[in-house]
Amino acid sequence: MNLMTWLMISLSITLSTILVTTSTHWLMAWACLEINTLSMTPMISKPHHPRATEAATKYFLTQTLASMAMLLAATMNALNTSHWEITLMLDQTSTTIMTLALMMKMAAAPFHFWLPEVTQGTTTLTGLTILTWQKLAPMSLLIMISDKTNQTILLTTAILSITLGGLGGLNQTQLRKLLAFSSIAHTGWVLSTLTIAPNISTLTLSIYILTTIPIFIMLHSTSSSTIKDLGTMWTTTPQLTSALTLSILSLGGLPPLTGFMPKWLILNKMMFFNLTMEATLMAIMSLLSLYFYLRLTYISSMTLTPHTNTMTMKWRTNPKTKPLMASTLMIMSMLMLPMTPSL
Amino acid sequence: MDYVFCLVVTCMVVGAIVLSTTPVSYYGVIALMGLVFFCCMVMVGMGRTFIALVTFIVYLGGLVVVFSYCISVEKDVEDALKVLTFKVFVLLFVCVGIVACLCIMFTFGSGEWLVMPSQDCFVCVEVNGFGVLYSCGAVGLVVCSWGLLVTLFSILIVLSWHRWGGLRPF
Repeated sequence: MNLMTWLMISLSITLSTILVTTSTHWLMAWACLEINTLSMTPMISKPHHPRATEAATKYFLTQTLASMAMLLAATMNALNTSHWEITLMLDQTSTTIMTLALMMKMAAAPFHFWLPEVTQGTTTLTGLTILTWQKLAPMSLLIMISDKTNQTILLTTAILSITLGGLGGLNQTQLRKLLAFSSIAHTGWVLSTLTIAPNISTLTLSIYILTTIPIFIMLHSTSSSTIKDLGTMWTTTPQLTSALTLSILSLGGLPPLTGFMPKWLILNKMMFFNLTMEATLMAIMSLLSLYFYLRLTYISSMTLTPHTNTMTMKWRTNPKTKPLMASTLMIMSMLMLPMTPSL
Repeated sequence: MDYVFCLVVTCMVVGAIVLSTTPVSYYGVIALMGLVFFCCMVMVGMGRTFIALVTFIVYLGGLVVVFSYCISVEKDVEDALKVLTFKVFVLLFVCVGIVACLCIMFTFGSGEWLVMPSQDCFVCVEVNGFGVLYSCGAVGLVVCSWGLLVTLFSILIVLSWHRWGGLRPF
């Protein structure tokens, strides 16, 4: 991919997401989401490997289906209420279809099957883009219609996402797939407070993004793709490996780390709205994801893997990539919990 | 008119089923053609003659290319009905389809559920036709044309035109 192509594509991805968040007209939002999908497709199929092409096809088909459902819902809304305003989705049926379509774009539970495959099929950094940046546009639209959406659908999807994200990751050894399942579970947490407190949902998504970026950058810079590779990561960077362990625990949501903050706030808010049963279910189901995070932690820092490595002192040589961004974000992903009262 | 609508919609559903279950690619293209034709028929029935004609012509133009490609990659013609999964899927879809049709019939009644209310007053407050795109909604025009440009661009990149062009080994 040459420079002009790269510029055009990354500019399109960035600008279309920003335009979606600022648009007020459904057709404009749809057009920008289409631009987003279409410019993401060549990014995914960039390695020109059959697996990458398959991932691009899967991504394109699911996103197009979601866009089509979105367009249908917007048109139905326009036929019934004679306007295309995003914040004024008054029709109940079209709001439901719209919510489901946007969930499909975000890979929430009943529509999550494409995400692990697509993330596994591409390169690590493209996978990072799919898991983080591509969630922003549908999330902003969901927040815009959040006061009209059906709470039952959102809560059901949230609980289902957390459960399936946890269950799917249990037997997984490929790291990108594992992180995709973790992303599905986190999408569930994001969706759970969308109607009752959209600001907490935004906070959850941003903290998820903040925690995932350094993990993916680490995986990219040490070219790890399976759990087995985590076991020999200490030969490359011992310090960052221990920091990565804490970041993974933060992704799981253990108390002294940043990842605990969104879960804490969400459970608190759900208790406040008398959703005790749902909150309990979500907390219990997130233990499933915690199990595989703990497995990653265990393999990366608490045990020596039985794989022979030819060079144990690799960390003495100068690293090719300077992990400045990863280390900064890792510190943020571990130590931001004391900031909670000021939010 | 309602019965004609019913027939056309049924043909549309059948076309979609054949398209999604057929193991032979050029049967799929024929099914797609039928599907497009019946979709356009529905649009004609709703009083949108011009857009139906334009859609049909555009689709037909694209489908000719797809059709010739499918025929050229077809090695030997095998009987579609001999494939076991095909049979299972067709049976499954037909059963589910019949049940779904019966459910819809019983819940909504077979009366007026296909006829759109207010067919000819698609007047919206905000968009008064294409004219807006050229006056105060110029940003929309820019976004739309940019979208078309990105479509063309990404197709060219996916096909990696700058390397081999059409001469890619399969």
